[in-house]
Amino acid sequence: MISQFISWWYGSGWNDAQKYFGLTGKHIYYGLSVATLTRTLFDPWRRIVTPSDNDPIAALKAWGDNLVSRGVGATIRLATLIVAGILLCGMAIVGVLILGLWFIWPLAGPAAVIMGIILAIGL
Amino acid sequence: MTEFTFTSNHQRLNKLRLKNSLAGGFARSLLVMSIGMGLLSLVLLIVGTWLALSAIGLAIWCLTLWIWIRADLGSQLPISFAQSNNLAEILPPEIALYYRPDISTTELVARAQATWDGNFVLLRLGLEPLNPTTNATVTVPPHDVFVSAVDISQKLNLPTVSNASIVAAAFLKDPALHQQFVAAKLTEPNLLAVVVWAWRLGEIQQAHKPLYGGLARDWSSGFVPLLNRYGTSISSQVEFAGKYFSLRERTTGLDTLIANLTGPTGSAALVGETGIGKSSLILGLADRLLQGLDSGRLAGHQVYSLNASVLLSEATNEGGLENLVMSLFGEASAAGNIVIALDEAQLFFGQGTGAVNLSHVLLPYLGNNGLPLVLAFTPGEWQKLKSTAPSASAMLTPLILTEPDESSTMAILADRALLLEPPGVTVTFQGLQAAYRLSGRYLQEEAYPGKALKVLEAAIPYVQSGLVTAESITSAIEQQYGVRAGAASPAESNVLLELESKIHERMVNQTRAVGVVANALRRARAGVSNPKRPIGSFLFLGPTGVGKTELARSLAAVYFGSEASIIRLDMSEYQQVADVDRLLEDAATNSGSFLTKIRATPFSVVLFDEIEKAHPNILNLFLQLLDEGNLSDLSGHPASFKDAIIIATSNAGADEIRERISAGQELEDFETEFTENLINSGNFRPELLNRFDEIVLFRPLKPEELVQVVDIMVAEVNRTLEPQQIKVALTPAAKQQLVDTGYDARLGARPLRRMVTRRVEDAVADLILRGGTQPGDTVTLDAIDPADHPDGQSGDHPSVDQVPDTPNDGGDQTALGEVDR
Repeated sequence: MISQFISWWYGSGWNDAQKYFGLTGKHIYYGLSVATLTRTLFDPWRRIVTPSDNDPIAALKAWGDNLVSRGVGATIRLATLIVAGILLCGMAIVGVLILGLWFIWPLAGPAAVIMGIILAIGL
Repeated sequence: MTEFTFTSNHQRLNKLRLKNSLAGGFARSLLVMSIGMGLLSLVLLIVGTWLALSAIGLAIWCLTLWIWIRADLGSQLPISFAQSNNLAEILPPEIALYYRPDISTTELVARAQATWDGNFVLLRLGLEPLNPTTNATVTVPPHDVFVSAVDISQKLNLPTVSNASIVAAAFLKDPALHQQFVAAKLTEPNLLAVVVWAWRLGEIQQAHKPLYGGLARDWSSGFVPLLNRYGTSISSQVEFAGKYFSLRERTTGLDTLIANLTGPTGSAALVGETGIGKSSLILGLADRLLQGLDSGRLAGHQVYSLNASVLLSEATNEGGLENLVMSLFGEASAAGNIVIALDEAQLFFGQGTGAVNLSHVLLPYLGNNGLPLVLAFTPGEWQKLKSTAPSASAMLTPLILTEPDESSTMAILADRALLLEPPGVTVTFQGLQAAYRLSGRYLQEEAYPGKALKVLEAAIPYVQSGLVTAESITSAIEQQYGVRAGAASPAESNVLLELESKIHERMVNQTRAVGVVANALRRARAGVSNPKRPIGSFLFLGPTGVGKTELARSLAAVYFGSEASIIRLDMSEYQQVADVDRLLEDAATNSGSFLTKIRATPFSVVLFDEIEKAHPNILNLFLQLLDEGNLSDLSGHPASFKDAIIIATSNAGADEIRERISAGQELEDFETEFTENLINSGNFRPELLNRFDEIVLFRPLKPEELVQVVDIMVAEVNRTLEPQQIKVALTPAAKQQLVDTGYDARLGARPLRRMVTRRVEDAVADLILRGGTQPGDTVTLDAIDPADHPDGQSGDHPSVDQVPDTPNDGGDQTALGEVDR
């Protein structure tokens, strides 16, 4: 049983863990539409304001409204991008940590148990 | 033959055994313990003891074991048989776990049947599961089953051996199981189709939900409140159903459609018959665009469907409709991420009932790729649009959809059946086959796969023991189309076996004609005749008034339910070339047209009276009708005659028949020669005569048979009088007198009918009106005295003999028309 566990952990288990973190990162990336947000960062928010006709005053007003709409859009998108960035970074850090610890992980459990007992009884 | 090895201590088997030995809830317990230890470590940390580290260690330990059990032990999938011949590696986990070299095939098959995909095969084919605790045994060696299972997987391009393929292999290889399989009228291709069905379902279940653009997909596009109100968001439907939506989509032609929509005009026409999959293709388009796969600038666009009928019903007038459509299109165009699909698009161009011509509203959008438009048409509507609105059709790039072949249609049906099934109902493979076969026969004006799905849906209420079987489909078809599609019931079989005697209750002699028609019906109902042609086609030849038309009527009444089940065409009304179009009118042109009638009642007797008078072009159409059992209307939609009996009558050669019979010849003696003469006479083209199943000669009736005809006619009068509880009877002398005065060798029994009307019906009517008879009376009529009526008529009251004014005295037999009570 132990040999089977060890062979999986350092074999296909390692590959599976990499795939898992890759897939989770992909879901965050697509779920929060990172590419779309980046591409449309300064687009008007939900096209609420549309271009006006030849009337210069109306056109000026539309331009101003559009500017506001773009500002609102950029703010929301930027906030979302920041959240996405935090999540992706967090995911990456956790991933790197876990993958980094992967090799010592099977030993970490028993080692911590023994160390805890030793330190608790003050040996 | 493939040789297999088996390593009993293979790592995969050890893992499977370990997983199996752990209790079901063990993995969950480990996770709970891991969380519990984590929390305990926090408490111990607060307390300030190093035991917190030990708790963390235990938490890590539990978590590690949990990950291992889940990720490794729980997913010991088989590898491809192309990579190994070791059964420990290539068998599905459920079988590999229990396999041992001395395992009985019975146990092996029973274990495969107990898995979901093994059971799926049994359930869908309506086969009984093997029960190893009873006396059921599988005698074929396990090795043969594995070889066959690998063969099946190879044939089907499946990467591994599945439980379904092991079950299928057992049914193909084991004699006892094969017998069960054959008894269920199944074939190897059926079995393989169900194995693929199970595999596909397994793949869909394991698939991840597609990624549909994420949170910010629509943040740069406008709101569409009007479209949400008047249209249907196909994209929302796709998004909601997720991976299972692939069961409803059509992908053939999708690349072309997207290319058309991203082309210069941005508009496309989907052209295909009803049911061919135009809506499914729109669903496929919505799915592809949401996923952003190979869809260019349309990636992330949403598809809205607008139904013309709904818009027409919403608008109060033409101006209101125009404004509504303009608003909808304007909103969609401004939103920037909308594709509009117009169902029944012809209605926007003024074609069809209640249609309004809005082409001037549509044209600017058709020519401008700012708003991608997909317009759906049937081929007929598309052709009409090309002639009536060439500028609009020129801006649309047509995508002609073709019917999928049988195997593709069956695959679509299998997919869709899973979505159609209500809880507790299973559609069997035989049900799918019957839906395919019978919809092809009875819904000819629609296309696959839609028509088969329609039948499948209609069959759900006819479920038997939770299964939608071939019988359920047959019942639905019989109910919906008034045909007899299933096997004959015992009652129907009796009618069929006694058809001749039942017909002879209504007509006299013509035994051969009655016999050939009855035989044709029996062949058809026993499933022996060619199902691609009419049940039977007959040319009845003979003098007038000998029973040609009467036989058609009798057949309709005795077997087809009523005389109303006869569709009769007097071909003397189809003598001009223009009458061809009249014959082929569709329902839109004439709701009472010939082809509309046969579509409404496909199970009928079709009678073409005096066929020799029809225009030669119409006779040419008959070649197709008799050969293929189909005629297409002016719109090109076929109407089926495959459930009809075709009877054509003609008086051609009547004189020759009469002369030969008068000369003492029997019909059978000159039938062949007569037919030869008929071909030589040029009345009929040989290819037409050849296409009839039988050419039947009717002989003139003999005097003694005419007396029987009188009896039948009087019986008809009595049936009419039944509600009044009055009966009429004729003395033998009266009957003979009717025959003597009513028979004309040239006109057959027809004058006899007139004579019965004048002499019998009129007499009884007169008596009833004068109050000379009471309910329960029998009016007996005798021959009249020729001295009183030298011309055979009775003056004011043209009865056989005058009926007395006074009520009768209750005697049994009357002398001259007295009344019995």
